[in-house]
Amino acid sequence: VSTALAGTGDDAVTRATSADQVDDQLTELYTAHYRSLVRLAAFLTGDRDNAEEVVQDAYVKVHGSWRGLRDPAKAEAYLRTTVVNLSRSRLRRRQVAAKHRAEPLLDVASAESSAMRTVQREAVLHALQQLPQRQREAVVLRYYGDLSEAQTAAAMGCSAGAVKSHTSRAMTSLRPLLEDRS
Amino acid sequence: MTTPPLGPEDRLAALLREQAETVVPAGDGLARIRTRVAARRRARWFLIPSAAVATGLAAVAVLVLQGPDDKSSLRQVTAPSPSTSATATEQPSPSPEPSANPQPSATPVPGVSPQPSTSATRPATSAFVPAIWPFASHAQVEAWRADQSSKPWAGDNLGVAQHFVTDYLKLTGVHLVQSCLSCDVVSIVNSDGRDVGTIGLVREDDGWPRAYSVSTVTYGSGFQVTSPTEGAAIRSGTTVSGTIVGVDENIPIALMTQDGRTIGTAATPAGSGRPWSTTLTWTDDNWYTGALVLKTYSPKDGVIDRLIVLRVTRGT
Repeated sequence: VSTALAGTGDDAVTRATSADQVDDQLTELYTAHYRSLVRLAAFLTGDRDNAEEVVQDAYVKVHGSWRGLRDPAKAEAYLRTTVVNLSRSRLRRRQVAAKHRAEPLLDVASAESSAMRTVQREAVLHALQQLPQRQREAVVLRYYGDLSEAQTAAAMGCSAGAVKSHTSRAMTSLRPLLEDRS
Repeated sequence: MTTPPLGPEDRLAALLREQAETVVPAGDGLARIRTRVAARRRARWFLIPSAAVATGLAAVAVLVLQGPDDKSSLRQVTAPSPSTSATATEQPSPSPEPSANPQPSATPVPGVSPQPSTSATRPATSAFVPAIWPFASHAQVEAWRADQSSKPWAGDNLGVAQHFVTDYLKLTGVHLVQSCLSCDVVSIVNSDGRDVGTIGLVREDDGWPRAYSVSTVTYGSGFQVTSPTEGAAIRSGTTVSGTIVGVDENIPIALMTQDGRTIGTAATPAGSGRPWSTTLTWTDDNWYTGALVLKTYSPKDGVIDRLIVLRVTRGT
């Protein structure tokens, strides 16, 4: 099972006091999570070009507020929540700016062993982007991020029950596309 | 022994992981983050000049970030606070200041508060539109990209706003408040805690690093310029008119070039909700992009309390 976002453990980050220590912690966070967070943002925004910018914003934000963190060991969760929130903001802006413009969402990889599988993946990814935002966040955090319901709830700023509900509804929409066609 | 069939959740997880592999971040993410962090550090602290320390002026930079939600974040930077009134400490412009000094003669009407016309959560503008300072054109941005040493802060929205206030407008005793990191709107707040104006920034994305430039400063319906309009081409003898509510004011007006020269000044009495109007003349035509700068001052303590900066161009 992938632990793309599930983290490397709270003890990976300890309280930093000096600017240099904060910078070091930032570098650690970058090494451990940057790639997976960019991918998360790409899923959440449907825009891989801006995903990196969203995640960089999140890192800068976390860096700036480091001393205000009640528990620096939670920096990873804080970072993830910030990415979710910034993705929402980015999505909202883009939707307003290009309400009627059809934009390419996530590209679908061309190198695929099975044409059927490619079609299926494309259909699922397309359906994923059509989901209501909260449902999309829930399934991406749960199944790409491999987060528990509680972790997902924390990242989304909602209850675990709401996560369960969003996930269930999302899966109801996606399930027909996820049937085993092999 | 056979592998149990995957459920839809497993298949979705596999598909998402597979798709995620196609998203490959560029290798310079950390460098970009560090650059931005450094720019913000400079933006926060450059306002602590040794001269200010030597003269006992308080200079404080405060960063308040409360929680991970973008909307809950607040960045506040305080400029050196003068020990005397703001009018006495305003630094002289390269050219003479407006001929009429502010002479407020009435007290503010209770309940009239600033109403910035620009939303505090206005998103970044990705396309570069004409702006005032430090860049008025794509060519100027490109020149900066080639050599960033003179304006290392130009890639940071708050840094640009700060330098605009201190270097271009030469205001002191005010501080800036930015509601979120990504927002390109920064409020100017005076020592009384009142909003003086809202700086609007634009961002040039057609290259790296991104560059910010100030496009406007607005106050809201309580103080507006109705003529000329933003970006208008004006000639000497142009009529500047507008409206102001709440107080009787003497409004000084200055025409500043992009390089910071004040080439024309005027003043007009105004107030009681009546439209005001005056004629602005100048002789120096060696400019293209400029700004009309209009200020009012608090009758109570003389600090700046309203500000408009309107982009104009030289008419032919």
